Amino acid sequence: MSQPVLSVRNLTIDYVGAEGDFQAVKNVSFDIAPGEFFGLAGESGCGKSTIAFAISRLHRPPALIRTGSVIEVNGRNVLELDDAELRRFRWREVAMVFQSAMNSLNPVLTIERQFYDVLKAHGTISRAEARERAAELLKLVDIAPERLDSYPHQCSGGMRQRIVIAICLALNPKLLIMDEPTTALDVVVQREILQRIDVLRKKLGFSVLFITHDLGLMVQVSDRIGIMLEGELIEVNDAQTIYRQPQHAYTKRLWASMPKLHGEQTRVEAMP
Amino acid sequence: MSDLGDPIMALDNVSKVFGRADKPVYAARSVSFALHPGRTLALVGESGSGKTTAARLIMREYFPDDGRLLFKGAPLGKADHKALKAYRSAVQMVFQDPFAALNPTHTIRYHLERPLRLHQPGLDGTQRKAAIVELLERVKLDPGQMMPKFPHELSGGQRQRISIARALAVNPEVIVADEPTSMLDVSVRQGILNLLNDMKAELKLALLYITHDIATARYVADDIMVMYAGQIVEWGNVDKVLDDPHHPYTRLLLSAVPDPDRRFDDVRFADELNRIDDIRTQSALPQTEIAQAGDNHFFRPLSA
Repeated sequence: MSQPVLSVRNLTIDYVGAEGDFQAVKNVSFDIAPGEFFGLAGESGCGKSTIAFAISRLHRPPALIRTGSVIEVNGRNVLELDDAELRRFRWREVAMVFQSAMNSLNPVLTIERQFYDVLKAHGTISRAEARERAAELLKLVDIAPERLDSYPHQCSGGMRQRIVIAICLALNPKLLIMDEPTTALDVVVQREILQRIDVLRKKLGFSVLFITHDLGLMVQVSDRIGIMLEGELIEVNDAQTIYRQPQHAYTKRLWASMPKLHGEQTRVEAMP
Repeated sequence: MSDLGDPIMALDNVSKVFGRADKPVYAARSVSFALHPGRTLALVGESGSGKTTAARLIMREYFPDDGRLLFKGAPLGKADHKALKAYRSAVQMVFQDPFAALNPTHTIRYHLERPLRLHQPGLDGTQRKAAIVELLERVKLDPGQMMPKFPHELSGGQRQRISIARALAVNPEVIVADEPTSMLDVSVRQGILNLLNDMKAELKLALLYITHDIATARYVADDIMVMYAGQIVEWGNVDKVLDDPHHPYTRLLLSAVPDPDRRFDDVRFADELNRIDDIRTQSALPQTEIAQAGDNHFFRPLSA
Protein backbone atom coordinates (compact mmCIF):
# COMPACT_ATOMS: atom_id res chain seq x y z
CA MET A 1 0.00 0.00 0.00
CA SER A 2 1.27 3.48 -0.84
CA GLN A 3 1.54 6.04 1.90
CA PRO A 4 -1.86 6.39 3.54
CA VAL A 5 -3.67 9.73 3.39
CA LEU A 6 -4.72 9.31 6.97
CA SER A 7 -2.96 7.24 9.56
CA VAL A 8 -4.39 7.09 13.05
CA ARG A 9 -2.24 5.41 15.70
CA ASN A 10 -3.13 4.63 19.32
CA LEU A 11 -5.65 7.43 19.41
CA THR A 12 -7.05 7.87 22.90
CA ILE A 13 -9.44 10.68 23.73
CA ASP A 14 -10.87 11.44 27.15
CA TYR A 15 -13.64 13.78 28.15
CA VAL A 16 -12.25 15.22 31.33
CA GLY A 17 -14.78 15.46 34.14
CA ALA A 18 -14.77 16.70 37.71
CA GLU A 19 -15.25 13.25 39.17
CA GLY A 20 -13.29 11.27 36.65
CA ASP A 21 -12.55 11.05 32.97
CA PHE A 22 -14.70 9.39 30.39
CA GLN A 23 -12.69 7.57 27.78
CA ALA A 24 -14.55 8.16 24.52
CA VAL A 25 -11.91 6.72 22.19
CA LYS A 26 -9.69 3.90 23.35
CA ASN A 27 -6.40 3.22 21.59
CA VAL A 28 -7.80 3.30 18.06
CA SER A 29 -5.56 2.72 15.03
CA PHE A 30 -6.50 2.63 11.35
CA ASP A 31 -5.31 3.87 7.93
CA ILE A 32 -7.10 5.30 4.94
CA ALA A 33 -5.40 4.83 1.54
CA PRO A 34 -5.50 7.44 -1.23
CA GLY A 35 -8.86 7.33 -3.01
CA GLU A 36 -10.32 4.95 -0.47
CA PHE A 37 -13.89 5.11 0.84
CA PHE A 38 -13.65 4.15 4.51
CA GLY A 39 -16.77 3.68 6.60
CA LEU A 40 -16.89 4.00 10.38
CA ALA A 41 -20.00 2.55 11.99
CA GLY A 42 -21.32 2.32 15.50
CA GLU A 43 -24.05 3.56 17.79
CA SER A 44 -24.36 7.09 19.11
CA GLY A 45 -21.85 7.61 21.86
CA CYS A 46 -19.38 5.05 20.54
CA GLY A 47 -16.80 7.73 19.73
CA LYS A 48 -17.02 7.90 15.94
CA SER A 49 -17.79 11.62 15.76
CA THR A 50 -15.13 12.31 18.38
CA ILE A 51 -12.58 10.73 16.04
CA ALA A 52 -13.85 12.79 13.10
CA PHE A 53 -13.50 16.01 15.07
CA ALA A 54 -10.04 15.06 16.33
CA ILE A 55 -8.74 14.51 12.79
CA SER A 56 -9.31 18.18 11.92
CA ARG A 57 -8.39 19.19 15.48
CA LEU A 58 -11.87 20.55 16.01
CA HIS A 59 -12.26 18.86 19.37
CA ARG A 60 -12.63 21.25 22.27
CA PRO A 61 -12.21 20.93 26.00
CA PRO A 62 -13.24 18.89 27.93
CA ALA A 63 -12.12 16.55 25.14
CA LEU A 64 -8.45 15.75 25.59
CA ILE A 65 -6.27 13.77 23.21
CA ARG A 66 -3.89 11.72 25.32
CA THR A 67 -0.13 11.75 24.67
CA GLY A 68 1.02 8.86 22.56
CA SER A 69 -1.82 9.41 20.09
CA VAL A 70 -0.80 10.08 16.50
CA ILE A 71 -2.96 11.40 13.67
CA GLU A 72 -0.95 11.67 10.48
CA VAL A 73 -2.36 13.26 7.35
CA ASN A 74 -0.03 12.84 4.37
CA GLY A 75 2.76 11.96 6.76
CA ARG A 76 2.40 15.05 8.97
CA ASN A 77 1.29 14.74 12.58
CA VAL A 78 -1.83 16.89 12.86
CA LEU A 79 -1.54 17.00 16.64
CA GLU A 80 1.73 18.94 16.42
CA LEU A 81 0.61 21.71 14.07
CA ASP A 82 0.71 25.29 15.39
CA ASP A 83 -2.15 27.71 14.80
CA ALA A 84 -0.93 29.08 11.46
CA GLU A 85 -0.19 25.62 10.11
CA LEU A 86 -3.54 24.42 11.36
CA ARG A 87 -5.34 27.17 9.44
CA ARG A 88 -3.60 26.15 6.26
CA PHE A 89 -4.22 22.48 6.95
CA ARG A 90 -7.96 22.63 7.59
CA TRP A 91 -10.16 22.55 4.51
CA ARG A 92 -7.09 22.39 2.23
CA GLU A 93 -6.11 18.88 3.28
CA VAL A 94 -9.10 17.71 5.28
CA ALA A 95 -12.60 19.03 4.70
CA MET A 96 -15.61 18.03 6.72
CA VAL A 97 -19.31 17.71 6.00
CA PHE A 98 -21.08 17.92 9.32
CA GLN A 99 -24.19 16.20 10.51
CA SER A 100 -27.22 18.14 9.20
CA ALA A 101 -24.75 20.11 7.10
CA MET A 102 -27.61 21.52 5.11
CA ASN A 103 -28.24 23.78 8.09
CA SER A 104 -24.62 24.93 8.22
CA LEU A 105 -25.03 27.45 5.40
CA ASN A 106 -25.41 31.07 6.44
CA PRO A 107 -29.07 31.98 5.85
CA VAL A 108 -28.42 35.66 5.08
CA LEU A 109 -25.72 35.18 2.45
CA THR A 110 -26.12 34.03 -1.13
CA ILE A 111 -24.56 30.76 -2.19
CA GLU A 112 -21.95 32.65 -4.19
CA ARG A 113 -20.89 34.65 -1.15
CA GLN A 114 -20.38 31.48 0.87
CA PHE A 115 -18.05 30.06 -1.77
CA TYR A 116 -16.21 33.38 -1.89
CA ASP A 117 -15.68 33.28 1.89
CA VAL A 118 -13.89 29.95 1.68
CA LEU A 119 -11.85 30.79 -1.40
CA LYS A 120 -10.81 34.20 -0.10
CA ALA A 121 -9.82 32.88 3.31
CA HIS A 122 -7.45 30.36 1.74
CA GLY A 123 -5.79 32.41 -1.00
CA THR A 124 -5.97 35.58 -3.02
CA ILE A 125 -8.79 35.44 -5.50
CA SER A 126 -10.96 38.07 -7.19
CA ARG A 127 -14.72 38.05 -6.92
CA ALA A 128 -15.09 37.16 -10.59
CA GLU A 129 -12.59 34.30 -10.39
CA ALA A 130 -14.30 33.01 -7.28
CA ARG A 131 -17.64 33.06 -9.04
CA GLU A 132 -16.22 31.10 -11.92
CA ARG A 133 -14.68 28.54 -9.61
CA ALA A 134 -17.92 28.28 -7.61
CA ALA A 135 -19.90 27.63 -10.79
CA GLU A 136 -17.42 24.90 -11.68
CA LEU A 137 -17.80 23.31 -8.24
CA LEU A 138 -21.58 23.45 -8.38
CA LYS A 139 -21.42 21.67 -11.70
CA LEU A 140 -19.63 18.79 -9.98
CA VAL A 141 -22.65 18.24 -7.77
CA ASP A 142 -25.05 18.84 -10.65
CA ILE A 143 -26.44 22.21 -9.63
CA ALA A 144 -27.05 24.97 -12.18
CA PRO A 145 -24.79 28.05 -11.84
CA GLU A 146 -27.90 30.27 -11.57
CA ARG A 147 -28.21 28.95 -8.04
CA LEU A 148 -25.20 31.07 -7.03
CA ASP A 149 -27.53 34.00 -6.56
CA SER A 150 -30.00 32.04 -4.44
CA TYR A 151 -30.22 32.09 -0.67
CA PRO A 152 -30.10 28.79 1.23
CA HIS A 153 -33.84 28.83 2.03
CA GLN A 154 -34.61 28.86 -1.70
CA CYS A 155 -32.89 25.50 -2.16
CA SER A 156 -34.20 22.08 -1.11
CA GLY A 157 -32.51 20.08 1.64
CA GLY A 158 -30.77 17.78 -0.81
CA MET A 159 -29.57 20.71 -2.85
CA ARG A 160 -28.20 22.49 0.23
CA GLN A 161 -26.39 19.31 1.20
CA ARG A 162 -24.80 19.13 -2.24
CA ILE A 163 -23.81 22.80 -2.02
CA VAL A 164 -22.03 22.12 1.27
CA ILE A 165 -20.19 19.23 -0.36
CA ALA A 166 -19.20 21.49 -3.26
CA ILE A 167 -17.82 24.05 -0.80
CA CYS A 168 -15.89 21.25 0.90
CA LEU A 169 -14.28 20.34 -2.40
CA ALA A 170 -13.33 23.97 -3.14
CA LEU A 171 -9.69 23.55 -2.13
CA ASN A 172 -9.18 20.02 -3.46
CA PRO A 173 -8.84 18.32 -0.07
CA LYS A 174 -7.11 14.98 0.14
CA LEU A 175 -9.59 13.67 2.67
CA LEU A 176 -13.30 14.38 2.96
CA ILE A 177 -14.85 13.55 6.33
CA MET A 178 -18.59 13.05 6.24
CA ASP A 179 -20.31 12.73 9.61
CA GLU A 180 -23.81 11.36 9.02
CA PRO A 181 -24.10 13.47 5.86
CA THR A 182 -27.48 12.20 4.73
CA THR A 183 -29.42 11.25 7.86
CA ALA A 184 -31.88 14.10 7.39
CA LEU A 185 -32.55 13.27 3.74
CA ASP A 186 -34.83 10.73 2.12
CA VAL A 187 -33.46 7.64 0.42
CA VAL A 188 -33.68 8.79 -3.18
CA VAL A 189 -31.78 12.02 -2.48
CA GLN A 190 -29.40 10.17 -0.18
CA ARG A 191 -28.43 7.75 -2.88
CA GLU A 192 -28.10 10.52 -5.42
CA ILE A 193 -25.63 12.36 -3.18
CA LEU A 194 -23.57 9.34 -2.19
CA GLN A 195 -23.31 8.04 -5.72
CA ARG A 196 -22.11 11.46 -6.75
CA ILE A 197 -19.45 11.44 -4.03
CA ASP A 198 -18.42 7.99 -5.17
CA VAL A 199 -18.03 9.22 -8.77
CA LEU A 200 -16.18 12.37 -7.65
CA ARG A 201 -13.67 10.60 -5.43
CA LYS A 202 -12.76 8.34 -8.33
CA LYS A 203 -12.46 11.34 -10.64
CA LEU A 204 -10.62 13.69 -8.27
CA GLY A 205 -8.83 11.07 -6.22
CA PHE A 206 -9.70 12.17 -2.68
CA SER A 207 -10.35 9.72 0.15
CA VAL A 208 -13.53 9.63 2.20
CA LEU A 209 -14.10 8.92 5.86
CA PHE A 210 -17.80 8.15 6.05
CA ILE A 211 -19.54 8.02 9.41
CA THR A 212 -23.05 6.70 9.66
CA HIS A 213 -25.26 4.33 11.50
CA ASP A 214 -27.02 3.26 8.33
CA LEU A 215 -25.22 -0.03 7.90
CA GLY A 216 -26.84 -1.07 4.65
CA LEU A 217 -25.75 2.14 2.99
CA MET A 218 -22.26 1.81 4.44
CA VAL A 219 -21.75 -1.66 2.99
CA GLN A 220 -23.06 -0.46 -0.37
CA VAL A 221 -20.67 2.42 -0.78
CA SER A 222 -17.54 1.75 1.32
CA ASP A 223 -14.36 -0.07 0.34
CA ARG A 224 -13.47 -0.88 3.93
CA ILE A 225 -15.44 -0.61 7.16
CA GLY A 226 -14.48 -0.23 10.79
CA ILE A 227 -16.96 -1.10 13.54
CA MET A 228 -16.77 0.78 16.83
CA LEU A 229 -18.14 -0.25 20.19
CA GLU A 230 -17.80 1.90 23.31
CA GLY A 231 -14.72 3.72 22.08
CA GLU A 232 -12.91 0.72 20.69
CA LEU A 233 -12.44 -0.21 17.08
CA ILE A 234 -13.43 -3.84 17.32
CA GLU A 235 -13.32 -4.98 13.71
CA VAL A 236 -11.90 -3.61 10.45
CA ASN A 237 -12.19 -5.35 7.12
CA ASP A 238 -13.23 -4.78 3.54
CA ALA A 239 -16.94 -4.09 3.18
CA GLN A 240 -18.09 -7.34 1.64
CA THR A 241 -16.07 -9.52 4.03
CA ILE A 242 -17.27 -7.72 7.12
CA TYR A 243 -20.84 -8.01 5.85
CA ARG A 244 -20.71 -11.64 4.81
CA GLN A 245 -18.28 -13.01 7.41
CA PRO A 246 -18.43 -10.77 10.48
CA GLN A 247 -16.02 -11.97 13.14
CA HIS A 248 -17.05 -10.03 16.21
CA ALA A 249 -20.26 -10.93 18.04
CA TYR A 250 -21.31 -7.27 18.12
CA THR A 251 -20.93 -6.91 14.34
CA LYS A 252 -23.10 -9.97 13.88
CA ARG A 253 -25.77 -8.48 16.12
CA LEU A 254 -25.60 -5.17 14.25
CA TRP A 255 -26.33 -6.90 10.95
CA ALA A 256 -29.12 -8.89 12.56
CA SER A 257 -30.82 -5.73 13.81
CA MET A 258 -31.34 -4.44 10.26
CA PRO A 259 -34.90 -5.02 9.04
CA LYS A 260 -34.91 -6.67 5.63
CA LEU A 261 -36.65 -5.36 2.55
CA HIS A 262 -37.29 -8.73 0.96
CA GLY A 263 -37.39 -12.32 2.04
CA GLU A 264 -38.33 -13.77 5.36
CA GLN A 265 -39.12 -11.35 8.17
CA THR A 266 -38.22 -12.47 11.64
CA ARG A 267 -38.71 -10.64 14.86
CA VAL A 268 -35.42 -9.28 16.05
CA GLU A 269 -34.97 -8.67 19.74
CA ALA A 270 -33.34 -5.40 20.69
CA MET A 271 -29.78 -5.49 21.91
CA PRO A 272 -29.38 -5.36 25.67
CA MET B 1 -59.31 -4.02 2.80
CA SER B 2 -63.07 -4.47 2.93
CA ASP B 3 -63.26 -7.50 5.24
CA LEU B 4 -61.63 -5.76 8.19
CA GLY B 5 -64.78 -4.43 9.82
CA ASP B 6 -65.48 -0.77 10.37
CA PRO B 7 -62.51 1.55 10.36
CA ILE B 8 -61.99 3.76 13.41
CA MET B 9 -61.14 6.73 11.30
CA ALA B 10 -60.73 7.51 7.66
CA LEU B 11 -59.75 10.26 5.29
CA ASP B 12 -62.21 10.46 2.41
CA ASN B 13 -60.89 12.19 -0.70
CA VAL B 14 -59.05 14.82 1.30
CA SER B 15 -57.07 17.60 -0.34
CA LYS B 16 -54.93 20.26 1.29
CA VAL B 17 -53.55 23.14 -0.73
CA PHE B 18 -50.86 25.64 0.19
CA GLY B 19 -49.54 28.63 -1.67
CA ARG B 20 -51.24 31.25 -3.77
CA ALA B 21 -54.41 30.63 -5.71
CA ASP B 22 -52.64 31.03 -9.04
CA LYS B 23 -49.80 28.71 -8.00
CA PRO B 24 -51.30 26.08 -5.72
CA VAL B 25 -49.17 23.40 -4.10
CA TYR B 26 -51.08 20.24 -3.30
CA ALA B 27 -49.67 18.83 -0.08
CA ALA B 28 -52.48 16.27 -0.20
CA ARG B 29 -54.42 15.49 -3.35
CA SER B 30 -57.56 13.33 -3.06
CA VAL B 31 -56.06 11.27 -0.25
CA SER B 32 -58.24 8.43 1.01
CA PHE B 33 -57.37 5.75 3.51
CA ALA B 34 -58.84 4.04 6.56
CA LEU B 35 -57.35 2.89 9.85
CA HIS B 36 -58.61 -0.41 11.27
CA PRO B 37 -58.23 -1.74 14.82
CA GLY B 38 -55.30 -4.12 15.26
CA ARG B 39 -53.72 -3.16 11.96
CA THR B 40 -50.72 -1.06 11.02
CA LEU B 41 -50.76 1.07 7.93
CA ALA B 42 -47.41 2.47 6.80
CA LEU B 43 -47.15 5.72 4.88
CA VAL B 44 -43.85 6.08 3.03
CA GLY B 45 -42.45 8.71 0.71
CA GLU B 46 -39.66 11.24 0.45
CA SER B 47 -39.46 14.48 2.41
CA GLY B 48 -41.99 16.94 1.05
CA SER B 49 -44.23 14.21 -0.34
CA GLY B 50 -47.06 15.08 2.06
CA LYS B 51 -46.62 12.41 4.72
CA THR B 52 -46.59 14.83 7.60
CA THR B 53 -49.47 16.82 6.08
CA ALA B 54 -51.50 13.61 6.21
CA ALA B 55 -50.59 13.23 9.89
CA ARG B 56 -51.53 16.83 10.61
CA LEU B 57 -54.86 16.43 8.87
CA ILE B 58 -55.58 13.47 11.11
CA MET B 59 -54.45 15.38 14.21
CA ARG B 60 -56.72 18.31 13.25
CA GLU B 61 -53.79 20.68 13.02
CA TYR B 62 -54.81 21.27 9.42
CA PHE B 63 -58.34 21.28 8.11
CA PRO B 64 -59.02 19.76 4.70
CA ASP B 65 -59.69 22.16 1.83
CA ASP B 66 -61.73 19.42 0.26
CA GLY B 67 -62.97 16.00 1.36
CA ARG B 68 -63.99 14.65 4.76
CA LEU B 69 -62.45 13.19 7.87
CA LEU B 70 -64.59 10.34 9.20
CA PHE B 71 -64.50 9.20 12.83
CA LYS B 72 -66.32 5.92 13.44
CA GLY B 73 -68.28 6.47 10.27
CA ALA B 74 -69.43 10.04 10.94
CA PRO B 75 -67.87 13.14 9.42
CA LEU B 76 -66.07 15.24 11.99
CA GLY B 77 -67.08 18.89 11.81
CA LYS B 78 -65.03 21.85 12.92
CA ALA B 79 -67.41 23.12 15.57
CA ASP B 80 -68.58 20.04 17.43
CA HIS B 81 -66.47 20.35 20.58
CA LYS B 82 -67.77 17.26 22.30
CA ALA B 83 -67.05 15.06 19.31
CA LEU B 84 -63.66 16.73 18.95
CA LYS B 85 -62.72 15.94 22.52
CA ALA B 86 -63.70 12.31 22.07
CA TYR B 87 -61.71 12.29 18.86
CA ARG B 88 -58.64 13.82 20.51
CA SER B 89 -58.54 11.19 23.20
CA ALA B 90 -59.06 8.44 20.63
CA VAL B 91 -56.33 9.64 18.29
CA GLN B 92 -52.85 10.20 19.72
CA MET B 93 -49.52 11.00 18.18
CA VAL B 94 -45.90 9.96 18.71
CA PHE B 95 -43.44 12.47 17.27
CA GLN B 96 -40.18 12.10 15.43
CA ASP B 97 -37.89 13.94 17.79
CA PRO B 98 -37.94 12.40 21.26
CA PHE B 99 -35.71 15.21 22.47
CA ALA B 100 -38.14 17.97 21.53
CA ALA B 101 -41.38 16.13 22.34
CA LEU B 102 -40.93 16.27 26.12
CA ASN B 103 -40.90 19.39 28.25
CA PRO B 104 -37.42 19.74 29.77
CA THR B 105 -38.72 21.45 32.93
CA HIS B 106 -41.07 18.67 33.96
CA THR B 107 -40.53 15.18 35.36
CA ILE B 108 -41.57 12.01 33.57
CA ARG B 109 -44.30 11.57 36.17
CA TYR B 110 -45.75 14.96 35.25
CA HIS B 111 -45.72 14.09 31.55
CA LEU B 112 -47.80 11.00 32.16
CA GLU B 113 -50.02 12.49 34.85
CA ARG B 114 -51.23 15.40 32.74
CA PRO B 115 -53.10 13.43 30.06
CA LEU B 116 -54.64 11.32 32.82
CA ARG B 117 -55.90 14.43 34.64
CA LEU B 118 -57.35 15.89 31.47
CA HIS B 119 -58.95 12.84 29.97
CA GLN B 120 -59.81 10.78 33.06
CA PRO B 121 -60.81 13.40 35.63
CA GLY B 122 -62.52 10.74 37.77
CA LEU B 123 -59.25 9.22 39.00
CA ASP B 124 -57.88 10.15 42.44
CA GLY B 125 -54.16 10.52 43.21
CA THR B 126 -53.56 6.88 44.13
CA GLN B 127 -55.37 5.62 41.06
CA ARG B 128 -53.42 8.02 38.86
CA LYS B 129 -50.15 6.82 40.28
CA ALA B 130 -51.17 3.22 39.70
CA ALA B 131 -52.04 4.14 36.11
CA ILE B 132 -48.62 5.76 35.59
CA VAL B 133 -46.86 2.70 36.98
CA GLU B 134 -48.85 0.50 34.64
CA LEU B 135 -48.04 2.70 31.64
CA LEU B 136 -44.32 2.68 32.36
CA GLU B 137 -44.35 -1.08 32.80
CA ARG B 138 -46.19 -1.42 29.52
CA VAL B 139 -43.38 0.39 27.69
CA LYS B 140 -40.85 -1.71 29.63
CA LEU B 141 -39.35 1.00 31.81
CA ASP B 142 -38.79 0.82 35.56
CA PRO B 143 -41.51 3.04 37.12
CA GLY B 144 -39.72 3.71 40.40
CA GLN B 145 -36.60 4.80 38.59
CA MET B 146 -38.29 6.77 35.83
CA MET B 147 -40.99 8.82 37.54
CA PRO B 148 -38.80 11.41 39.29
CA LYS B 149 -36.45 11.84 36.32
CA PHE B 150 -36.29 14.72 33.88
CA PRO B 151 -36.15 14.20 30.11
CA HIS B 152 -32.46 15.14 29.84
CA GLU B 153 -31.55 12.23 32.11
CA LEU B 154 -32.98 9.75 29.61
CA SER B 155 -31.57 8.25 26.42
CA GLY B 156 -33.30 8.78 23.08
CA GLY B 157 -34.87 5.34 23.16
CA GLN B 158 -36.15 5.84 26.70
CA ARG B 159 -37.64 9.20 25.76
CA GLN B 160 -39.42 7.67 22.80
CA ARG B 161 -40.85 5.03 25.14
CA ILE B 162 -42.11 7.85 27.39
CA SER B 163 -43.75 9.49 24.33
CA ILE B 164 -45.48 6.21 23.57
CA ALA B 165 -46.57 5.80 27.20
CA ARG B 166 -47.97 9.34 27.14
CA ALA B 167 -49.92 8.56 23.99
CA LEU B 168 -51.28 5.39 25.60
CA ALA B 169 -52.34 7.24 28.78
CA VAL B 170 -55.69 8.29 27.34
CA ASN B 171 -56.60 4.80 26.07
CA PRO B 172 -56.41 5.77 22.40
CA GLU B 173 -57.75 3.71 19.55
CA VAL B 174 -55.49 5.22 16.92
CA ILE B 175 -51.79 6.09 17.19
CA VAL B 176 -50.11 8.18 14.52
CA ALA B 177 -46.36 7.69 14.71
CA ASP B 178 -44.45 10.16 12.53
CA GLU B 179 -40.91 8.82 11.96
CA PRO B 180 -40.71 7.53 15.54
CA THR B 181 -37.37 5.79 15.07
CA SER B 182 -35.51 7.92 12.56
CA MET B 183 -33.50 9.68 15.25
CA LEU B 184 -32.59 6.50 17.11
CA ASP B 185 -29.76 4.02 16.69
CA VAL B 186 -30.43 0.78 14.83
CA SER B 187 -30.10 -1.27 17.98
CA VAL B 188 -32.57 0.93 19.90
CA ARG B 189 -34.85 1.25 16.88
CA GLN B 190 -35.70 -2.42 17.00
CA GLY B 191 -36.96 -2.15 20.58
CA ILE B 192 -39.32 0.69 19.71
CA LEU B 193 -40.65 -1.11 16.63
CA ASN B 194 -41.26 -4.26 18.67
CA LEU B 195 -43.04 -2.17 21.28
CA LEU B 196 -45.33 -0.62 18.66
CA ASN B 197 -46.05 -4.07 17.27
CA ASP B 198 -46.93 -5.42 20.71
CA MET B 199 -49.16 -2.42 21.53
CA LYS B 200 -51.03 -2.87 18.30
CA ALA B 201 -51.66 -6.55 19.00
CA GLU B 202 -52.44 -6.30 22.72
CA LEU B 203 -54.55 -3.13 22.70
CA LYS B 204 -56.11 -3.59 19.24
CA LEU B 205 -54.76 -0.21 18.21
CA ALA B 206 -54.93 1.15 14.72
CA LEU B 207 -51.45 2.37 13.88
CA LEU B 208 -50.41 4.79 11.18
CA TYR B 209 -46.65 4.45 10.82
CA ILE B 210 -45.14 7.31 8.83
CA THR B 211 -41.56 6.85 7.66
CA HIS B 212 -39.10 7.10 4.85
CA ASP B 213 -37.40 3.92 5.98
CA ILE B 214 -39.12 1.27 3.90
CA ALA B 215 -37.42 -1.67 5.56
CA THR B 216 -38.84 -0.71 8.97
CA ALA B 217 -42.24 -0.13 7.35
CA ARG B 218 -42.15 -3.70 6.18
CA TYR B 219 -41.19 -4.82 9.67
CA VAL B 220 -44.23 -3.30 11.38
CA ALA B 221 -46.94 -2.78 8.76
CA ASP B 222 -49.75 -4.89 7.38
CA ASP B 223 -50.55 -2.45 4.60
CA ILE B 224 -48.49 0.27 2.99
CA MET B 225 -49.14 3.46 1.02
CA VAL B 226 -46.52 5.18 -1.12
CA MET B 227 -46.96 8.92 -1.36
CA TYR B 228 -45.46 11.34 -3.84
CA ALA B 229 -46.26 15.03 -4.39
CA GLY B 230 -49.38 14.79 -2.24
CA GLN B 231 -50.81 11.77 -4.03
CA ILE B 232 -50.92 8.20 -2.87
CA VAL B 233 -49.45 6.54 -5.93
CA GLU B 234 -49.56 2.91 -4.80
CA TRP B 235 -51.09 1.06 -1.86
CA GLY B 236 -52.07 -2.35 -0.56
CA ASN B 237 -50.65 -5.35 1.26
CA VAL B 238 -47.10 -4.52 2.31
CA ASP B 239 -45.42 -7.60 0.84
CA LYS B 240 -47.28 -7.35 -2.44
CA VAL B 241 -46.42 -3.69 -2.92
CA LEU B 242 -42.76 -4.15 -2.03
CA ASP B 243 -42.20 -7.41 -3.90
CA ASP B 244 -44.10 -6.41 -7.02
CA PRO B 245 -44.19 -2.61 -7.28
CA HIS B 246 -46.28 -1.30 -10.17
CA HIS B 247 -45.85 2.47 -9.99
CA PRO B 248 -42.53 3.82 -11.36
CA TYR B 249 -42.06 5.99 -8.28
CA THR B 250 -42.43 2.98 -5.96
CA ARG B 251 -39.80 1.21 -8.04
CA LEU B 252 -37.48 4.22 -7.84
CA LEU B 253 -37.95 4.44 -4.09
CA LEU B 254 -37.24 0.75 -3.64
CA SER B 255 -34.14 0.86 -5.83
CA ALA B 256 -32.78 3.67 -3.66
CA VAL B 257 -33.18 1.82 -0.37
CA PRO B 258 -29.73 0.98 0.99
CA ASP B 259 -29.15 -2.67 0.30
CA PRO B 260 -25.83 -4.20 1.37
CA ASP B 261 -26.20 -6.87 -1.31
CA ARG B 262 -26.01 -4.32 -4.12
CA ARG B 263 -22.87 -2.25 -4.69
CA PHE B 264 -23.16 1.19 -6.22
CA ASP B 265 -22.82 1.09 -9.97
CA ASP B 266 -21.27 4.25 -11.42
CA VAL B 267 -21.89 3.38 -15.05
CA ARG B 268 -25.62 3.05 -14.65
CA PHE B 269 -25.72 6.15 -12.48
CA ALA B 270 -25.81 8.94 -15.09
CA ASP B 271 -28.58 7.13 -16.90
CA GLU B 272 -30.53 6.72 -13.68
CA LEU B 273 -30.32 10.39 -12.83
CA ASN B 274 -32.23 11.33 -15.98
CA ARG B 275 -34.76 8.67 -15.21
CA ILE B 276 -35.19 9.98 -11.66
CA ASP B 277 -36.11 13.41 -12.96
CA ASP B 278 -38.55 11.97 -15.50
CA ILE B 279 -40.25 9.79 -12.94
CA ARG B 280 -40.48 12.68 -10.50
CA THR B 281 -42.00 15.02 -13.08
CA GLN B 282 -44.53 12.49 -14.27
CA SER B 283 -45.47 11.21 -10.84
CA ALA B 284 -46.21 14.75 -9.70
CA LEU B 285 -49.05 15.14 -12.23
CA PRO B 286 -52.55 14.54 -10.89
CA GLN B 287 -53.83 11.07 -11.76
CA THR B 288 -57.45 10.17 -11.30
CA GLU B 289 -57.42 6.65 -12.68
CA ILE B 290 -56.86 3.78 -10.27
CA ALA B 291 -55.73 0.35 -11.42
CA GLN B 292 -55.82 -2.87 -9.46
CA ALA B 293 -52.64 -4.94 -9.53
CA GLY B 294 -53.97 -7.79 -7.43
CA ASP B 295 -55.94 -8.63 -4.33
CA ASN B 296 -55.45 -5.66 -1.97
CA HIS B 297 -52.91 -3.97 -4.24
CA PHE B 298 -53.71 -0.76 -6.17
CA PHE B 299 -51.80 1.98 -7.99
CA ARG B 300 -52.37 5.10 -10.05
CA PRO B 301 -51.00 4.46 -13.53
CA LEU B 302 -49.24 7.38 -15.21
CA SER B 303 -51.14 8.71 -18.17
CA ALA B 304 -48.92 8.20 -21.19
